[in-house]
Amino acid sequence: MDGQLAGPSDEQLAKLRDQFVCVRLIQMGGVDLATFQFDPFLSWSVFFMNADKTIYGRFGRAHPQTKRNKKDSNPNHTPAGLKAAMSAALKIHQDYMRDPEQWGTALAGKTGATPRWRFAEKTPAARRYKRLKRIDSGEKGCVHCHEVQRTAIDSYFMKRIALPDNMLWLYPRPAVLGLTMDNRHAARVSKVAPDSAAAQAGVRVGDDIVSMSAQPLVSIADIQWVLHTFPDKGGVIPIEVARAGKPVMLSLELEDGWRRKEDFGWRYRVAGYSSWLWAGVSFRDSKQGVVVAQRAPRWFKRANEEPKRKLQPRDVIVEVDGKTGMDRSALLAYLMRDKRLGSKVTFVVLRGGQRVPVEFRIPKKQPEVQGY
Amino acid sequence: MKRAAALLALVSLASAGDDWIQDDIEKGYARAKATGKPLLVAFR
Repeated sequence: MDGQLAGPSDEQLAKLRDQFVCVRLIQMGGVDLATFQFDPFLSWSVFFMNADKTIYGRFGRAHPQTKRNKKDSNPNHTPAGLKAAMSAALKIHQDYMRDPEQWGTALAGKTGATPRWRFAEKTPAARRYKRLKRIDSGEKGCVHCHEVQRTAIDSYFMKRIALPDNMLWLYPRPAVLGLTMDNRHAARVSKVAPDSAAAQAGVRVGDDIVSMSAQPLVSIADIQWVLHTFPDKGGVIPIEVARAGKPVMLSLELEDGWRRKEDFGWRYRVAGYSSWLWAGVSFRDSKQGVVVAQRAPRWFKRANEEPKRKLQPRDVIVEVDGKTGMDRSALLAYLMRDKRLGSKVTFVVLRGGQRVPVEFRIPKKQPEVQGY
Repeated sequence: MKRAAALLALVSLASAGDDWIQDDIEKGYARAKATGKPLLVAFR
């Protein structure tokens, strides 16, 4: 997608591109996270914005690495979807320049609250990452997008600050509302799950979602932004759809705990969990329980070795510290939130049909991360 | 080597795609203000 946008091959895309001032940021060091908040697990992302930092919209999102998705390396990025987003952003720009006061109010929600740490290399956990430490000292280097999330989570842990739900169940996909979106359009609905929040609100296939929570939308990523910043306890999201060219106002109700319906564990398959804690051990859900799917890759050179040594691939975790019935997200949330340096963790796993206790201790001192 | 090659490819891409501003958001803000155009900021 980056190549298509930069290159001359698509005339329509090039014409749209030339109406923007284009900036490419290839690393997150020095990037102000008070302005640029986006799904950190994606491979490519775009902000459309004004010179005064008013954000018009986002494009690009992460997706689970399923067998189906592997056939299509980037199912959420299509040139048609990007063109639709660019056209919508240009329209918002015209409206905003004509009436900054009115549009400024509608667009204010597209900028997030100032995060606890505004720069990735300034987070308390960054000193454990050799490369980030060098960048903070003024050397050149690269901070990866997913490291923004990892250092933030590690920093919450180090400072013993409770992780908010939206640090774990982040950027919920429209599926959490019961929506499947057509990625060739800005925000067009292609499926509505029966009995879902979207179905109950009266959303129909073919509707173009024009705004949510009064924010104009340019893409599916914009829907995820609205959900990412929506309260965990639920409430009503006012939405405007265009149906057969006419505006229709709907109310989408989300119940308390709606955010936790989505599995977030897939996000960590590539980036690794908090490396000092899990050494890259990854999990998947199954009918029997959470299954150990993969152990640490070699590049976690000095991360915590104990889970890697004691857990085996295909182990089914049926109990954690006496708690049962956890799915992958619940397990990860418990470990990331409730455990501390030096804590003991006791699993009961099914291995070869036998219940086997597996116990290990989180190191008292966090190892410095050598790998990427 | 792989990382260096990837960076080289990115730089080539950018030069092929006319005047993209590389890793300098302040320059982007200034140019957008001067031209009245909106910004497209890509992360990868």
